[in-house]
Amino acid sequence: MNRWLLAGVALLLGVGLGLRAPRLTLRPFHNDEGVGAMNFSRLYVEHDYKYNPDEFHGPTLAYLTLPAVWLQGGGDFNDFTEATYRSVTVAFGAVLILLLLLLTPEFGRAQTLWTAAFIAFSPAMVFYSRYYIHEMLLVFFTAWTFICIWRYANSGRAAWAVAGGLGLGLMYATKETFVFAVAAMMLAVGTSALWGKFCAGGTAKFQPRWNWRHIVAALAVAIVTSAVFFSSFCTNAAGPLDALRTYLVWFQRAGGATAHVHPWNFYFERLLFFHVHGGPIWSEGFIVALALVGFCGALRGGNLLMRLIAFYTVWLTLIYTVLPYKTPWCLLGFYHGMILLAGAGVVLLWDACRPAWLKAAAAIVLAAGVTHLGWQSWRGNFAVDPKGVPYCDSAKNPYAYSQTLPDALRLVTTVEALAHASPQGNATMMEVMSPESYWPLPWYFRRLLNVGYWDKIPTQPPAPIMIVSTSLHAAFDEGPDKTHLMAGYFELRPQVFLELYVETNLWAAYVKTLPPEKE
Amino acid sequence: MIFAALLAATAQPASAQDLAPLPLVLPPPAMKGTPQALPTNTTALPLTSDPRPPFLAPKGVVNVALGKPVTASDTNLINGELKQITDGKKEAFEENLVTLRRGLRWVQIDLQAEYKLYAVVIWHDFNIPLVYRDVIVQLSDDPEFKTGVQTIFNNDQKNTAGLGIGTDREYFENSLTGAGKLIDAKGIQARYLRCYSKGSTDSALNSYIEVEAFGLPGQ
Repeated sequence: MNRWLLAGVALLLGVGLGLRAPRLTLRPFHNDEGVGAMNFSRLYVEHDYKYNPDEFHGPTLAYLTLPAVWLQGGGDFNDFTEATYRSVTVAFGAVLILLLLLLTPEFGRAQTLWTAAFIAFSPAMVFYSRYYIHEMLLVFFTAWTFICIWRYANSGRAAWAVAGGLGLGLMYATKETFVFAVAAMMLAVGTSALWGKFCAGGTAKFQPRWNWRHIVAALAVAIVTSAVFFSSFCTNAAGPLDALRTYLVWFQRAGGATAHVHPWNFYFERLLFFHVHGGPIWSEGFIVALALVGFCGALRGGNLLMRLIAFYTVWLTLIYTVLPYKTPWCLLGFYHGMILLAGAGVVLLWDACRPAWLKAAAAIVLAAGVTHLGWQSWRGNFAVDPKGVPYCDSAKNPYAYSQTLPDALRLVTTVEALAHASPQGNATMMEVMSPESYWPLPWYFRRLLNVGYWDKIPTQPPAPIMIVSTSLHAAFDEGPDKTHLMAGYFELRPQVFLELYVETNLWAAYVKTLPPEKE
Repeated sequence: MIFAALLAATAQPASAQDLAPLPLVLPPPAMKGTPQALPTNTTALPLTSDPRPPFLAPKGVVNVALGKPVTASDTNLINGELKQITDGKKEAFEENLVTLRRGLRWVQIDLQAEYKLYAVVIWHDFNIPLVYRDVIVQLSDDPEFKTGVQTIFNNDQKNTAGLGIGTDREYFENSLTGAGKLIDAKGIQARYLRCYSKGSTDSALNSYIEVEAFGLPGQ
């Protein structure tokens, strides 16, 4: 393999890690990240992880967190930080760049390098690499599976078939939406063949080297791999069946029984032009425009790999666009396809620019485009707005969706200080009441031993510390006995406010621990 | 026996028939519409333009603070004169503002006689929706507030004033209704009324427009 290519990919891997790995604790956990981290506690602390078909997606995220924890020296679950968990997705987001090397023979060196650059710098790719959810793992396993199938079809070697089966099993064990990627791949094969036959004049002749035994072996590996994960490594026999049953739940959600129903243009708004009042303009239109060039080139040219990627991307984009259920990280699947097309699009454009001055102009535009992507990635993860609010926590960021606000950490700090002031310490009783999701608070309160969570005001006696959604109008401080005071409002997520009620005696003990107030 | 029954009836607390809405005259609102950029670092309930439910007090209560002498912890005022705090002018005009210096400050009203007080209403500067910090309202029959002190409102949760931890919430100076802060005085008998504050969400200064105390002559 060309050493310049390797050096270039290594450099871009370094850049990708440079944007992904620093300051992973800067943004509080999103509620899904908190759920994932507590899910990991069932595996790491209770040794009783079981796949739940109703929530939490597949088991790979929890199991693949184990190596990350071991590499960081293991230790107490309570000592793990957001960075411990996010290092998992950072690793997958970065290694996605290395996977490109397996495509280079048919994809091209320049295309590989440009695609690597776009993955390294893309704001969406960077942001969700720093996000402890399943999506980046799914993108990685999908890419791995696609590449292995491609390599197998080219070489006929059983090892690639088995590796592809492994990838398919891991896709399945990662997230239910893997079916969309698989469907898009199958549709891409079909439409690519039809296109080659009827529209491209048979320019992309290809004779895949199939062997039914290899295919069966690959499928067997996929089934065994997924079954191992879903059965919690053969300790939960119901897991593999639950992995099928889950589709009933998710089909209902995809059909609209959820708060995540959004219009068709939800993803395109985020990728092409996103602007919230008072915020900056965000766009990855540079990549999308180049992807269009790559798409046209793929249809006109004779490169079957490019044509497969083009149709795969179109089908997956269509599927996610049509589905009413939308969360912004779901765009990663088809956007990864767009990035591959964009890498090819750059080379097509470059070749089309014949005069030297035009090449110079193209070089400037490309450099500016990549710089702009990198700058947006930096801004979206590390910069603060003029009011001092980090963009990674702000609704002004297209990828921060129902993001937990820093105010939640202020609540956690206050509650921990209250527990410290209480004679019961971490065993102090606490009640959290909210009809809206109270996640990721359970992870942040993981050190407290007696915390109850309710979706309404319970009938049991009030606890010394109570965190209550304002939507419940609790007014615990207005009782005739004045047993509690309302110590403050805390904004968990945009427009989701919590009240902190504290027993007056505990509050008095807490106040004694505070430093004297400066005049 | 009849006499005992009559005595028992006399000793009964005021019945619903003896109560009436407080004869409170509100100043006009200082602003209309939805205010922008409300302070968020507060325990105050959200600002609302809804009218306050009527507060019931024994029939015959009047504002016994009207025109009564006012003293303060701070004689070096930044704006206005102390007597304006009980002059009955409650509009949110700049000329009605009495402003004390920064830090914890108090104003004190000598009601010049003992009164059974049922409600105290305070208007700080309500030109915009502010939250005044560490608001404490006390009643006493001692002008020095050393004996017989009863606290009827205290939202100094961190006890920065050293008068005890307050369990009440902060509140918005309601520029949408001009309603002032109404505090239930529970019929406590007192001659002196003292109001503390320690700046606001807008400023370290302490401003008042009016203080009213509704009561009946004491026994």
